[in-house]
Amino acid sequence: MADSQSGSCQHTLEQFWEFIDQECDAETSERLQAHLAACQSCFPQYDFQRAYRVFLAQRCRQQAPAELRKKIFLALLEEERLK
Amino acid sequence: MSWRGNRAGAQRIYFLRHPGRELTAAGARNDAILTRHPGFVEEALPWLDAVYRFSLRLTAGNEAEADDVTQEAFLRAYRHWPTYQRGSSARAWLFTIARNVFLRGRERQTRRAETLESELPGFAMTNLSMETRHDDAATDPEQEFFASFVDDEVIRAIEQLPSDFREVVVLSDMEGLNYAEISDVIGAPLGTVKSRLYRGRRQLQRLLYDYALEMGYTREAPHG
Repeated sequence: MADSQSGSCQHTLEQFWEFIDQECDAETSERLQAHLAACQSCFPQYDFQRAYRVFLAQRCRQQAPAELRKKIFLALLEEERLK
Repeated sequence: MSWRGNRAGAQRIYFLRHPGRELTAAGARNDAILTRHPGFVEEALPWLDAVYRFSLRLTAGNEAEADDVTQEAFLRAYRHWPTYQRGSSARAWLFTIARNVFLRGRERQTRRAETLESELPGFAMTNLSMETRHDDAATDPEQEFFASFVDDEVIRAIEQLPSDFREVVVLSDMEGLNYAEISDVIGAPLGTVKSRLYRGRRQLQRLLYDYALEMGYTREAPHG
């Protein structure tokens, strides 16, 4: 069983976003990794949020409309012409 | 007409016939035209899609307003390109400009509304079509959940967040900025960034995780 104290889980949950965001130092990362690998309470939440991050990073890649690109390009040309 | 003038004219004609192809990461063709600020094409224009997405989220899905914000942001960026510190994050710099454009626009709207003693129109929620699909995403329960939960639901949940939370969630989770870059964009300390991210994600979690549990999509720890 991982750290069974609820305080440890609470501490993990407070930090696991920084862990997912790769903003923790190496020591903290190792400690959180060990806890998450063994804790039935924290792991599902961590796993879900990690999947959520992957989802957003991979799929929300909407591109600017072609018409907007055209408008911006022409506006920049105009700006260049007026220099 | 000079050689450069001929070439620029030809490029402009090419662009008008092929809208959307000029503002790409390649961008080399634009160099012959946008000569006023060297480096703008290579460093700023590749972030056009990202700035548009950020603007779309700032405006809670209002496409017309996002268009205006994006265009104004790039015009300002071009005019002020000499103030950009080469080698720093052009993306964060552009997001900062877009955010300022958006906030000033909202201030003007508010003042106008107060003058007219009328209410601002509600922000339209639009359903987004996601362009990139990953058919192999359903390899584990969580990915399967998101694949079936549909993009619109997640986007709608993000758009329901208060604006202070929404912008940091978008910058981090959709655009991949680190905490320091987000701090620069919103002009707030790192602690504020972390706090808003934590609270914004908690709200999202309440919206999404309960649904995931209900649907049986979450899984247990691998080592019990």
